[in-house]
Amino acid sequence: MHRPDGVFICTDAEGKETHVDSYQCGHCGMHNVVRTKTRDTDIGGWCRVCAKNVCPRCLVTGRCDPFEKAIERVEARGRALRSYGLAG
Amino acid sequence: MPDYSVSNELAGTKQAISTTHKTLLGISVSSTTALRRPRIFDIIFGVEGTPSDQAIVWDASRTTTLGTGTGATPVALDPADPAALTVATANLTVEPTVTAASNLLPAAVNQRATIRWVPTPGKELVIPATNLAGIALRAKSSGYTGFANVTAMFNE
Repeated sequence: MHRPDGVFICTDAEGKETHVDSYQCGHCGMHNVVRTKTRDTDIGGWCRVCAKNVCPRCLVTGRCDPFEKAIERVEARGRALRSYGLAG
Repeated sequence: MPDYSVSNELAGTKQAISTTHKTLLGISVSSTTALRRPRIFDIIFGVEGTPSDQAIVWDASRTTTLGTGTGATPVALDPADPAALTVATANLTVEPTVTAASNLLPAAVNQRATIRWVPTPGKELVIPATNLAGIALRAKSSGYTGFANVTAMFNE
């Protein structure tokens, strides 16, 4: 992969290391493995709104929901619940 | 941001792997006031049982509760750093509430293999700064019933 977002390093019983690149889905944050010679369509897609790789699961939703925004939503909900005295 | 390391070797009694997911280590925010976003930047999965050819499915899913386990104290990689605000729970006996379809690190490998995952800077697994939000590092296997180990490093 040209610019991977991560790498899985698998060491087998004989001590041989296999490096497999991964990319991070811009919507859910999942790191997806990209094996050599995998077809583009099999590893997900490209979101033209946030300009990020997206995993197959997020691709089929057809909407852009960036990962950072989702995290901020969860945090805002927590702050609101605390302000109502509903969460510990 | 200070870096920390934590493992299910640090506390509790290890639980056998089974055909359903077993949480080895949970990393969570557990405070209503001291809130930070932990970022996991290194994970090492491996087993300590008798080697054989069986598949193990490793998993890192989002959680909304702590579950029941033994508290493990994250170790600061720089001894000058303060204690972590993030809470680690090791060798859980009651599973936490896992968000459906939230696996962030799908990996299925042979039991004989050790797997390490390292992201490039900025691509870490992020936990929201919300009370009880976390990530559970889990494993399951159709044939292996021994123990498994996981070590994770994070910053906050």
